Amino acid sequence: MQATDESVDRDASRAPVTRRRKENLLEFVPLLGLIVVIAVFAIITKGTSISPFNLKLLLNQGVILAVIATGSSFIFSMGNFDISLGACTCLAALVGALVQNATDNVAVALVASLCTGIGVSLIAGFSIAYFRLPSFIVTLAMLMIITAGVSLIIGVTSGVYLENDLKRFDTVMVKLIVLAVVVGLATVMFRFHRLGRSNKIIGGSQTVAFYSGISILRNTLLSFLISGIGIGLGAFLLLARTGCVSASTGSSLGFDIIIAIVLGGMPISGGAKSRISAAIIGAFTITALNSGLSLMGASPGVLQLVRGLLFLVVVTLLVLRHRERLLVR
Amino acid sequence: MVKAPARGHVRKLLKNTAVCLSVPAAVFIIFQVVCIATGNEYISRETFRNFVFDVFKIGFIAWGLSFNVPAGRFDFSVGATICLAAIIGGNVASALGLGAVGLLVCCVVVGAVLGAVSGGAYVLLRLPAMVVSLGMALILEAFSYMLYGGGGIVLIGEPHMLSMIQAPWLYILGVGVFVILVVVANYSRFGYSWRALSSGQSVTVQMGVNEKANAVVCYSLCGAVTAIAGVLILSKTGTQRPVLGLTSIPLMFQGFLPLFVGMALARYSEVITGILIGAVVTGLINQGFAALGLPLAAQSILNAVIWLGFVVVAVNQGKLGEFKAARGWRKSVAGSDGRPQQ
Repeated sequence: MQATDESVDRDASRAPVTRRRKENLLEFVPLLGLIVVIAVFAIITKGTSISPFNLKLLLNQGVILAVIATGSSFIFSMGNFDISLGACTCLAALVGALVQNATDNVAVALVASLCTGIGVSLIAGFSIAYFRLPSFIVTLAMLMIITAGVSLIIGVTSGVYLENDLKRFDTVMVKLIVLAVVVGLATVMFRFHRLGRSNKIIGGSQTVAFYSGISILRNTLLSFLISGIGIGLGAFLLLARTGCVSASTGSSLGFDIIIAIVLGGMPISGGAKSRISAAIIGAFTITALNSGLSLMGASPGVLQLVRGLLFLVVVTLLVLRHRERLLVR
Repeated sequence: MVKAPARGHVRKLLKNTAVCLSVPAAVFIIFQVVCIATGNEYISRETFRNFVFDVFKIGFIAWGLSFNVPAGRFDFSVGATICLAAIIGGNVASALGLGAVGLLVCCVVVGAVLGAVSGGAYVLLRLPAMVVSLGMALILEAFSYMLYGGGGIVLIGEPHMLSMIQAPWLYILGVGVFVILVVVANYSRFGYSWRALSSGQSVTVQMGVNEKANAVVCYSLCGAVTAIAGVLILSKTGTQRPVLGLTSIPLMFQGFLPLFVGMALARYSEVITGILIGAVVTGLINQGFAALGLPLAAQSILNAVIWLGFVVVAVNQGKLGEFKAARGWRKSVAGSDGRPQQ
């Protein structure tokens, strides 16, 4: 009898270890997803998708998405939701382009892009934190205001072209350095700084965070500040890459970032499982998916359909074990 | 001789009516004064038709939204549903050689089906409504592009199909849908369950209300009602092009200001009537901005700012009350011998 009890106790003590090991293994699923996406498209396109030209293209597009997604991870980890990221990037790129044309000074243009990204992001963050508004309401209003504002400045069909292009910044080396710095700093902030840890607690439960003495106002403002820096840097890289800004610049970027974060394995409600790697892996997964489907000749409609379906499937799989009996609102 | 309770009821009714009508009246007076001061004409005989069209278009979108948003189900797919319902309904009606009523019926049926699909996805996936609707918006937009060779629907040169925005029909349609919605929302079993679920989900489910069926019906009704807005837009422009990249969101956004005004006025009337008043207020604001010569983009910015301001005030009403109470307490302290009054 005693032996049986001991074996039960041993099984019980082993259970959390097995579960932890399983959870550790599950953390690699998004990375596996990225490898599978690249491999599948490499087979279907008979190696075209992994040609040096396409890989460079993938890196060029993926880095911009990854930089903005990394910054916005701080917002998403709190359980906040930003659908205005694409519009903010467009506005920051527009201001950068206008300043670059006016001053012909790259540093000033970069600062202008950064200030615009930070400013717009902080307005949203302040409205959410101070007035206690739902983040999707504020960012929806911001999306409307910025989209209309950009149309008002440059018109719906025309665009702003750089008089002296910034192609010297559109190199793989520059982008990799920017990405490495952003990811490095964000990882340190997220894992070792109080901000990252408290953001996860807020994402888990605002009530617990409040009673633990965490300032939700301060965390929200800091998170939106970091997101704004990501937007500003991403907008500058986008401007260097395209050389022009129109009303449609970054139109699909906003949703791509949300899909990227989800594909990277971060829960859309934030919390303890939030991590910076989700933004990087997800950004390259969605870029590889877009690139692969385009190489296969998929129309924009098919491309969007696949993204929509993938988004719903991945979010469902992520929360499969945590679904509630009542419908979630 | 009128008895005391009846007199009180009449007084309350008059007070509520006065509050409800004071909002559009105030907006009208402000813009009338500004337009006179700037030498512009506010609402003329020519622009009145446009105003009525605007009110009903916005009203249909807001009525549709009212089935889900107050219940905590934020729906990003409404704009995509409007576009896809107009494209499929318009093409079916055109292929069958139907007239304006046929176009309306086809679009409403397609809208109801699309709404039911969105509702079904929400119930089956059991994810937050906002997340599901974001995915559904992408999928529905994609179908608007993939169907009919990406051409959408063009009914220019088919005046018999586009007469729903003409004078008697638009009023009949608007008033008819208003009456039906008032009955559905206030005097039906579904309406009772819908209002109960909006107030308290857990308790209502424990009382035996089928939450899932109610949610699907809400989404379906939302699709059907907002599809009418699609018919009005199609009848006005003669075309409906496909939408991609979540560009359908601004269409949905048009219904938010009347919806929130309607929800605020609901305590003085009921939600469907409140939304109609909200739509009139939004129409008056839009006409005012247009009369002042503001570009469409500037109007969109101002509408979004007004809506956000309205939401800030609505959400922080308690805070405002606390602030007033604190100020009153400080005044009373200052007026006395330094000790707070008991």
